[in-house]
Amino acid sequence: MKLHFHFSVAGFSNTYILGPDEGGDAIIIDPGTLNVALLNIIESNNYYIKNVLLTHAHESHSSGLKTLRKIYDFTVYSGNKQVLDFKSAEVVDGESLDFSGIGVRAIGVQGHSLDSLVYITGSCMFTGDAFGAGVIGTTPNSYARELLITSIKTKILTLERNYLIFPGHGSPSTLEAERITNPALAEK
Amino acid sequence: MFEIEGCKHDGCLLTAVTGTGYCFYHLENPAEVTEGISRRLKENETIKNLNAEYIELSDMSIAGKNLYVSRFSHGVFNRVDFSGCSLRIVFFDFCVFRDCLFKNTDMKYSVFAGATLNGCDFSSSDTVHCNFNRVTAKGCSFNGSDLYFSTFAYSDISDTTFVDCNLKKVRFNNTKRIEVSFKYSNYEEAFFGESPRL
Repeated sequence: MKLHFHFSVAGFSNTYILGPDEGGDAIIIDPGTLNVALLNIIESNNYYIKNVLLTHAHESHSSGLKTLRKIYDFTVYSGNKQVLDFKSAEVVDGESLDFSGIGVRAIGVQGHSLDSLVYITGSCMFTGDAFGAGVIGTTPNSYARELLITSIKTKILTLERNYLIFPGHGSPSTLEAERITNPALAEK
Repeated sequence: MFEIEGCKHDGCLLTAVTGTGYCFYHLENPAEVTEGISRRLKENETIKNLNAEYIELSDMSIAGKNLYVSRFSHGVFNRVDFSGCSLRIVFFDFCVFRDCLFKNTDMKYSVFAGATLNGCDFSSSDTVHCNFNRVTAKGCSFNGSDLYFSTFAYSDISDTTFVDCNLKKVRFNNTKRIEVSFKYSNYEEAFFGESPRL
């Protein structure tokens, strides 16, 4: 299994692709845009985008769906029943998904948005805008901020093992690094 | 995909060095494993999916190699030459680097969070989307580098130069800086105040 990343200048967001070594059905996470560079990654690895995972439905993470649909027939998974003009399989907190042998666990981490999900597969954790390298997501009010911090602390930081963190924006990190270096998560 | 396996030793929470089943503390012969990894790094042009948490390497060159999706967290690197390397999604969090060379590297989506950087040269490099949060950097040079979207938040930086760098969207919030030069760099486009959120 290979992991690829792509940076979208529109929205400054990260898109990730998980696909088999030899090509085949692949998963795309948060297609903020679909441009030639991203398409080249997909096609040069002989991938077919079969499933789309959205950490949340904000445009910088989902706008690429429209162009993607013109090329691939995929199923959208998110915390909603509908995203843009697309029907979505609604994923709930704690749900485990299986994509042709790739197991993905979803954890609901509300606060940045009501539909925010963190996806875990293998050693990788795709955190969307819940948190990233040294930061947490923006929130509409102080209640949502507390909700977000509490969700991360109780559902993510309590996980025993270390994970590689791949956020929706900015550089990657590790769960160990975030436990120690993320000031918002160190707050009492 | 890169999978980190836990150490097989009862109760150990560290990760297993690739191909061994055990962490460096519980390996029967860690020197032999270090030698094997050192040889793998020197003899292959491209190294990927390698987990070598807590490795210690000294006085070697892996200049010009491609390192992809690998993990060297908590490692110690003394006088290691990474010049001209291409690094993608490489984890060096909490490592100690002494007098290491990263000149002319093409480094993207890599992590140095919590690392100690002493006398390291990152000059003339593309160091894009990299995580240097809470590093302690002393006597380092990032001169002539593109640091776009990298982050140095909460770091302790001294006697270090960022001359003629691209600092667009680079985060320096809450850093402690002593004798740090940003001469000829676009520091106006970096964040020194409150950290931008996601």
